Amino acid sequence: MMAQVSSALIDIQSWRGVFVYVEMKDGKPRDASLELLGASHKLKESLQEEITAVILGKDVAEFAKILASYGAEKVIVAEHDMLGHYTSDAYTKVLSKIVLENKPSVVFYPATPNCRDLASKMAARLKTGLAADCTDLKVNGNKQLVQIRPDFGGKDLSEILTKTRPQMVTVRPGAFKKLQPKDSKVRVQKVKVDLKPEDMRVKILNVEKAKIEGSDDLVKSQIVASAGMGFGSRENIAIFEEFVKAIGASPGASRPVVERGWIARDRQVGQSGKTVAPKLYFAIGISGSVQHRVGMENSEFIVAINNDPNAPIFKFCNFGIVGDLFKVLPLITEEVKKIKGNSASS
Amino acid sequence: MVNIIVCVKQVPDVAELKIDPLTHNVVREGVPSIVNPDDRIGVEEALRIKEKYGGRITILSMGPPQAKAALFECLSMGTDDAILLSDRTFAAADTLATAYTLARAIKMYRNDFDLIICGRRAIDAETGQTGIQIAEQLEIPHLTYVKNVQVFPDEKKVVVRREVEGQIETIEAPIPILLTVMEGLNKPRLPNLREIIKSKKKEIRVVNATELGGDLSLYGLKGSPTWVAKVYPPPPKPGGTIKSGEPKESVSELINILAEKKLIVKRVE
Amino acid sequence: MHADGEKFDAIVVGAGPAGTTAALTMAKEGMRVALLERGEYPGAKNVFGGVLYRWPLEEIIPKFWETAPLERQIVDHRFMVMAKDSGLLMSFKVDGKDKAPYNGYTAIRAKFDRWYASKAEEAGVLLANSVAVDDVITENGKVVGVRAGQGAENELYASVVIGADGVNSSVAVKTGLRNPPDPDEVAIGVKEVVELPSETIEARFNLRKGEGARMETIGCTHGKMGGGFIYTNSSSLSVGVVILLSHLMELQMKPYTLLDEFKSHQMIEPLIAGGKAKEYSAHLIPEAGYSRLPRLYGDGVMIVGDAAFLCSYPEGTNLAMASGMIAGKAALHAKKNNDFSANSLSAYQKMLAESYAMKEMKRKSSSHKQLIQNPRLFGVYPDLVGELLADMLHINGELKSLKHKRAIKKFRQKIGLLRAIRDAYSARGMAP
Ligand SMILES: Cc1cc2nc3c(=O)[nH]c(=O)nc-3n(C[C@H](O)[C@H](O)[C@H](O)COP(=O)(O)OP(=O)(O)OC[C@H]3O[C@@H](n4cnc5c(N)ncnc54)[C@H](O)[C@@H]3O)c2cc1C
Ligand SMILES: Cc1cc2nc3c(=O)[nH]c(=O)nc-3n(C[C@H](O)[C@H](O)[C@H](O)COP(=O)(O)OP(=O)(O)OC[C@H]3O[C@@H](n4cnc5c(N)ncnc54)[C@H](O)[C@@H]3O)c2cc1C
Ligand SMILES: Nc1ncnc2c1ncn2[C@@H]1O[C@H](COP(=O)(O)O)[C@@H](O)[C@H]1O
Repeated sequence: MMAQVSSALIDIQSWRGVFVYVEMKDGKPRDASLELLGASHKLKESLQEEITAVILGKDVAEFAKILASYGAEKVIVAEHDMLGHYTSDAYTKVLSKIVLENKPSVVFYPATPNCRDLASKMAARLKTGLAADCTDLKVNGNKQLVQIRPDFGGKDLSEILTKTRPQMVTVRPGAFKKLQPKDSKVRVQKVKVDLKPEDMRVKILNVEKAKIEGSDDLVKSQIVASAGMGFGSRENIAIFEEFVKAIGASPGASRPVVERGWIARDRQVGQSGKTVAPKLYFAIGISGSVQHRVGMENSEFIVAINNDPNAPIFKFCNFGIVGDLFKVLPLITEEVKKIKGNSASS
Repeated sequence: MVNIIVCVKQVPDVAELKIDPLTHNVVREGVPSIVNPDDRIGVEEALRIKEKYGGRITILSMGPPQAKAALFECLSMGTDDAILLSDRTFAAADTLATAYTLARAIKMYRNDFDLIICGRRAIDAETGQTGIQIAEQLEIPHLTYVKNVQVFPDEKKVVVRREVEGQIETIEAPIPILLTVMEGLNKPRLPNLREIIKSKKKEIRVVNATELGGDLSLYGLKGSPTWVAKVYPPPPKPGGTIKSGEPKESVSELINILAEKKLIVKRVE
Repeated sequence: MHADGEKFDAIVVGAGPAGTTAALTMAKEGMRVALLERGEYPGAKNVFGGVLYRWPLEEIIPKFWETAPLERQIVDHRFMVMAKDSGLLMSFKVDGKDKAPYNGYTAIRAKFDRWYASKAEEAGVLLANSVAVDDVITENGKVVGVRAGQGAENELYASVVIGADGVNSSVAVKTGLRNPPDPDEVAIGVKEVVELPSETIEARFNLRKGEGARMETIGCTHGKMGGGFIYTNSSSLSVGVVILLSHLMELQMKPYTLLDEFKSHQMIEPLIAGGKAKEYSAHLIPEAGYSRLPRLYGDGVMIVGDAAFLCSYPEGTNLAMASGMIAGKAALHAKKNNDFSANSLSAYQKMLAESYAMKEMKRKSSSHKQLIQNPRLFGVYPDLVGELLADMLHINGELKSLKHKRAIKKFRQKIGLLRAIRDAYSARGMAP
């Protein structure tokens, strides 16, 4: 087993610069990485560090310009055939070498599944601290980077400080905004990648798309409407279905509704169901438990209908109607039909 | 024969956590503790592998003495033995220090393992880092987000399916390896009466820092490169509009907003 | 027989006060005992007021008050007669300062039962939580074990099974010792725990630090058999209403509506004001009374506590413990003679008949039936008391002598002297 480096040994001053790890997705740099370039710029005033984008992959050099336009002051490119598909072995080997040669003080990764895999392994290999899935970042009076992350499913926020370098952070997609792209000059540094087949301990046999489930529309839809226990019985779901049809929403449900078989299982929204972030989300007769909340809170506009004014859902919705859903919902359906229907005659 | 270690964390049942209405802090007192749900899936997978190929399943945990309850629960599902690393020195560890501690115990007590199974993440802090970092400490490969496992003991390999963002990767990997598993892999069994009775007679080996040895400064808070400087309740989301009057009025206001935001548009024929 | 399943001397089903006492009594004398509990831990799902009386726990764990998780020592016993918009409160204070050990203590069962069961574990009892027994195993009419699910791996065998699984006991029902309770054999208790700072509780109930009060109330159940209660815990109050199930059905009310009414009564509301309602729970309480007690034993089986309907509200835990202790002794005796037949176990019922527990059941129950059928005690009297006192204390220039006359007339009209005497006789069972 490797011995750990005691943090006291690390000379913090000799680590300079901010690294943003750029993940490729569907043949281009992922938005979540571009957002981190934006975040780095926000912090630049107080940190005063150079912002470097690091991109690994098969043929990725061409993206340096894009990265520059979103705020990278320098781009490090590592290309190799064996980087064509993510494996923790190959990626960790290449990235850790780059990091150790350049000694940045911070490495940001988007908190996507593979980046969280990579960051964990990187941090363990470099014996440094890693703050997971942060939702906010700031710099405190001592010029320390403060990493803010939710605990207990978002019930608490904690501020994490790191005493080792490089400080590593995964940041939740959507937590920061990308900059407006503008043409900028780039310094591109191509690194020599030294990868041998023996470096890969695992072998990818096959990659396929996961089967598209019947509820694929749920995650893609612009409008999602979910039914909760407020409906009281399976029969009452009929008025929900009518509403869904009228407004053109994808139907979802809270867990107990799914468990009772009122709505199909693959339509559950929440911690143990699907995560959705449509433009418009309706929570109808749903109390708004954390487990439900984590699956829909990133929706752009949340409408809640509930007859209990103290229901937690009212704490994080954009528009809430306190009232009996059996009265309210048919009214909305009617209004929506009016608007949509009118168009036929106009 | 496949020897398996399952790393199990006892966590508060997040579903039962309440917020103190005055301080807005999470109230931990009186909240039941449970076996971390993903870890329970790990235990189940280990049992299924053992049922096919034989071997020994060891439950390993780091935590306060109360964590014994979680270990008993895993034993009563049918696993063989359990080790609890428990010492004040281990407290307030971040994932790196936790991984160091667990990895050291594995080296000391169960170095003949074929598989280590961890949960994808623990529901209290949800970092999902510990398992990967254990593997790195032990210099073995790892695979995350595992949705299916096939073991080939004779060929000393596993074939797993890993599911990430709508992609399924089928990967072959050598034994020994560490896997992190998640919901959907299996449905954990309920312990039966006989196993519950048997589990009561199994010993849980409790190991403290001195026994575990090594460099004590690498355990717990001291050995953690990250530390929590502050915990506070999330600021309330900028309040939305809440309407409690006449439904007709609320609905028409809603419709106006939605129309304005172009969220309901006239159907174009 | 059951080849790989190991056999215990005794299986106790249910780790409430009755079961834990039975298990402890047997294990102390070296019997091998498995104690099976449905909850995640003993007490996890228990609902009770409540006051724990020193007897007979003291016999089982001497000086228990020094280590058990108790809330407050009871020094103030209150009784209230409640009418719609008035209340007459009597308070009897005894056992003042530094009189430990006290006669009764409030306790929170989630804490107490857990502690108590840990004492049994220390004595060698094998406690298994999250085990819901759903059937007994019989061979040739003799109970030889229990089942907690399907398949041989969910069977467990023993020389004797003790059913301590509460009012809805499956052991009692599956062995045919009794039927599931009828609605006029059980009351439903609904309870809320209201959190308040300890100083607030002490100020509102006129208590010194650490002292506690219990309050029983009649007149809050729409004339039906039942009552309300408040017990003081360290930093919470247990507030609840108890009503005979068949009477609740007649009222066609939800139990929590009664509790809400009780809580908003002017005598109660100020006591709980500002408190945070923490948990709401409901539980059945045996009210069958002495005359409908089932047979308490059979071949290889005994039933104790609520499972055996041994409860005479508000004394339940002490009767549960007493019956558990005596059943444990009977089992020890049976073990010595290696005879677990019904005949041998009948010693349990005999010993119990001689104990305070059974005699108290008998005393109360002689009037039980009359109480059930007598609506006056829970409605007419409380209302009348309120009405008469209100009239008497309302000073408006009218002569008191006239008021007295009117009061007597009213009393005659509404109740009648003879009936009142009879009612008083039948109410003696309610006497503390
Ligand atoms: C490990 C775990 C994972 C979980 N995963 C998920 C998950 O993925 N998704 C999920 O949804 N849940 C999940 N849950 C369950 C979650 O904790 C809640 O129990 C669930 O979300 C509650 O569903 P609900 O809001 O529909 O029901 P309730 O909490 O019962 O709420 C019903 C609401 O309807 C309102 N209502 C009643 N009648 C009316 C009426 N006539 N008009 C208007 N309003 C009315 C009530 O006021 C109430 O607020 C999970 C739980 C656990 C422990
Ligand atoms: C609201 C209320 C107030 C009360 N106030 C008082 C009071 O002030 N003082 C007092 O002395 N008494 C009081 N009582 C009565 C007292 O609570 C009971 O009489 C007493 O708890 C009976 O003890 P027991 O051990 O027989 O049953 P229980 O306490 O009911 O214990 C039964 C145990 O068996 C377990 N169990 C049930 N079924 C199964 C199964 N199938 N398999 C395995 N385990 C099972 C249960 O989980 C439980 O732990 C009150 C009761 C109520 C409801
Ligand atoms: N204290 C611990 N003891 C044992 N296993 C742990 C501990 N902490 C984390 N793990 C394992 O690591 C996984 C991921 O945890 P986390 O990184 O905290 O999300 C868990 O599902 C466990 O399998």
